Amino acid sequence: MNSTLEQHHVVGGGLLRRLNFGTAAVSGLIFGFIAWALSHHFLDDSGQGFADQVTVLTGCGWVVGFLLGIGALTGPGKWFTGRDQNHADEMYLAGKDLGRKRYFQYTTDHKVVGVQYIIATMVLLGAGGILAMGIRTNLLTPGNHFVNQQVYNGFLGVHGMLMILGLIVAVAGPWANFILPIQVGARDMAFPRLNALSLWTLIAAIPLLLGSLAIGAMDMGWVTQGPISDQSGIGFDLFAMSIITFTISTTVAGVNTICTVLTMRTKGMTMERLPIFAWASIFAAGLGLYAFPFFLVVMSLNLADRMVGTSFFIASGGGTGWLQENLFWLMGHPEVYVILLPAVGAILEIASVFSRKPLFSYRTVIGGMAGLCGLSALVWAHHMFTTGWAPTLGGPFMLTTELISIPTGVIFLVLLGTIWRGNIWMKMPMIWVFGFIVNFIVGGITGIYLSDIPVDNQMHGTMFVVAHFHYVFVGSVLFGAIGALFYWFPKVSGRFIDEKMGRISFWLVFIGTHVTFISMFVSGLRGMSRRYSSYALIFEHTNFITTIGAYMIMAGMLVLLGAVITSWRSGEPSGPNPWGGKSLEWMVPTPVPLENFEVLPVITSDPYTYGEAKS
Amino acid sequence: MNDLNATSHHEAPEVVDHRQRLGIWLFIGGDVVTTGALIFTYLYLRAVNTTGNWMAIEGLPANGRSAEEVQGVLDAGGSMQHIIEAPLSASFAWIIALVMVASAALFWFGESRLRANEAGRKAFVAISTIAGLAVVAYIVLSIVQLRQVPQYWRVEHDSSLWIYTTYGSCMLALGVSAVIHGLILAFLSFGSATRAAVGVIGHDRWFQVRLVRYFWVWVALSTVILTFVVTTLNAN
Ligand code: HEM
Ligand SMILES: [Cu+2]
Repeated sequence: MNSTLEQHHVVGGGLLRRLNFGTAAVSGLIFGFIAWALSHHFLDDSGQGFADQVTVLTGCGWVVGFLLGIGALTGPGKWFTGRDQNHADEMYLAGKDLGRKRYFQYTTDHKVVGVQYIIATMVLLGAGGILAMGIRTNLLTPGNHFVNQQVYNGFLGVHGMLMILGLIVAVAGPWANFILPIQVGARDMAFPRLNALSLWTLIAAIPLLLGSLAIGAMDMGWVTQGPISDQSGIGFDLFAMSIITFTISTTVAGVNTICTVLTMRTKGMTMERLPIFAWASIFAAGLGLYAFPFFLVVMSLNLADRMVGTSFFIASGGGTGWLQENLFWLMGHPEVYVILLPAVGAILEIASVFSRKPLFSYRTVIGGMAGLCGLSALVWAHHMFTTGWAPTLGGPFMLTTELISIPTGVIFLVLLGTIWRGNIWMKMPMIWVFGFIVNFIVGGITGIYLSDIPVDNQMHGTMFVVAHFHYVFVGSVLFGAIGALFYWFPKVSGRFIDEKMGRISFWLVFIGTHVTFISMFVSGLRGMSRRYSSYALIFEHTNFITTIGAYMIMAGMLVLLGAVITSWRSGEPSGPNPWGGKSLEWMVPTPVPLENFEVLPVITSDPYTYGEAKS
Repeated sequence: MNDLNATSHHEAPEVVDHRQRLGIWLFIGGDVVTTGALIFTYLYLRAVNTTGNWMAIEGLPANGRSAEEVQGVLDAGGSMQHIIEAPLSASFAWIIALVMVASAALFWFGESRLRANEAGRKAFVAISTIAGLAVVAYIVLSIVQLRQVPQYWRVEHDSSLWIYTTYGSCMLALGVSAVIHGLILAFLSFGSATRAAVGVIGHDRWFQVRLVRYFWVWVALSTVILTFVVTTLNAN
């Protein structure tokens, strides 16, 4: 190899090599502005839908400009003209010798992308958390007007969607990128450039979501309830653009994850020897590929109604809001398992390592995940029991929903079976697993209550439902995500997250979760509706308690954030395999070298050989 | 730069191809769901036919008229009428579908020439370009069809609105989806042609062409399915 030639390639290269987050943001703003100005110039400003058209086109301008400015469109452009990248280009894109700069660029190295996803997750959850504090402060006392009602509605919808996006990527983003390729014995993801694309389209989507708050009036909650979504203010246009952009991101990421696991495994890494996290990741990715196109379609149709006067969801024009709800929940229910599965995968991984026992019944848990995915496509109408849509289908949907608790229960039992009589090592990752076990029981069981139509007729639209899904999202998924963070952080940074601060944050979040959501169950059982900005006096005490609990969770999360930041810089060094794990990510040095393995390993057993004859 | 040492990223083309084939099938899977969601929407709205508005509406026909022109009609005493729409021309829809199928067949033929022998590369450049032009024709025809979707002007309370029947709404959405698919295919076909022209694609390097063909055949198939649905299940 001619090294001077390579040097030349890496150092030269002009403008395209200077692209980074800053140029992307500037270019996004410029393109957004141009789109705004052009649409003002060319569109009929007396026409209906004018404001929506301008907003959507501005959003499109932002996304295109941002992707152009980060360099995401360079690859397709080069492909089109037949100038493929050479090895030096690839190494540059992978961030070779670029130091910290590579974290702000269109970098293809899966480990850099993983770290970028950690930051993106923190931004999403952080912003969502701030809005949650706004909501809870408003609900501290009856008739408290911390924010006005329009703003409250906006907070509620955007809080919900920020958290949904945040949790979709919370485990899959950082760890299916950073860890998964190493776990299967690959040098990178299957499609490194698509990997960067999925990350940067996600980043492009976030400002749109936040922008929808700024321009106001998104007043139908995260479920974009039709036909209200056809009627609310222009904030919804940016919201929908954000979702459309996100569906591209998550589709690309899902394809990449599946291809990595199915085609990049090293010699001897049969499907039966895959770490369970890899299985969970491909199930989640596959389910996402099924679910998110519905989101793309329903948001697009919403926008069409608003922009050009179609009548998909407008009854007076022949449409129906039920169609909107069906399309939304066809996506919405599978999506909750897209969120749950990676977290469960990480939890099972941690449980085995910290109990020093093989995973209890590996095949059963894979079957459980498969069952979960299959059934989750058949239960969507349990969100529509009270809407009056197809009452005759109530029975079947109730049945499928109750059936889904079987694979859920199976996974849960496998988790318990793994820990049972294990040699439990109570380090931070495992502590979060125990939190998960407690919380997931509550979340799962209350879900079964809700699947019962007579009960749901009482509970639907109340705070009981809100408490149910927060037990699964906060109590289970977030706990799993934080456990995963404690578990894999040493691989990323070479350091432990501070144990003492970790324990403080655990107890704050754990107790806070129960204080918040048990009192919320009580509010719901007493009949308090969700989504209102004020409430009757009888709900005073439970709401006060809920708000105090929410502050506790926030405090715990801030302690965690502090722990992560300080430990990243000066935490206790961990070495390459601090937990005595047996999967491949623990066999490579820390920091992990650019292409992970000097020589690709050959696998001879599954990664859970604890307690068996030493190999 | 063909070093095959252990740390190199370079893998055998067959290995890369195998991976990319799975990737393209997964993307197609996502597109199948998207198309399925649109068909679901179409059939759902036709089945429920809320307030009898699948193909009927109160309004003023407004295709090709500007807001001022419609306003002029209204000012001159024109008022809203109850209109029963006729479906869009089925033969035109089938012509569009035929163009798509032909373009896919052409591209497939180009691929087989490319794979057959050395001389096939030049033929492929030409055929892929022609297939791309056929796709451009497909896009243009789809836009022509889009412009035929009946549009109405309706006065409601103080405001007046553009509006479509639900049938019209569905045809609009399907038309836009067709244009987007067409644009992707045009990009891929002209890109393949340039790549073959500069030699990145050749007799022994045709894997990418097959990937494009997979997607193309799927788009052709989905066009046929959609055309069948909208030309047979449309009456009020
Ligand atoms: C045993 C398992 C579960 C069952 C049987 C179940 C059942 C239900 C039912 C019937 C509803 C509708 C309540 C209503 O709106 O009236 C519901 C709502 C919800 N569930 Fe579950 N659930 C289960 C697990 C989960 C999990 C694991 C998650 C998330 C990871 C989840 C997330 C949600 C969400 C987000 C909503 C409400 C969405 C909204 O209206 O804003 N559920 N659940
Ligand atoms: Cu559900």
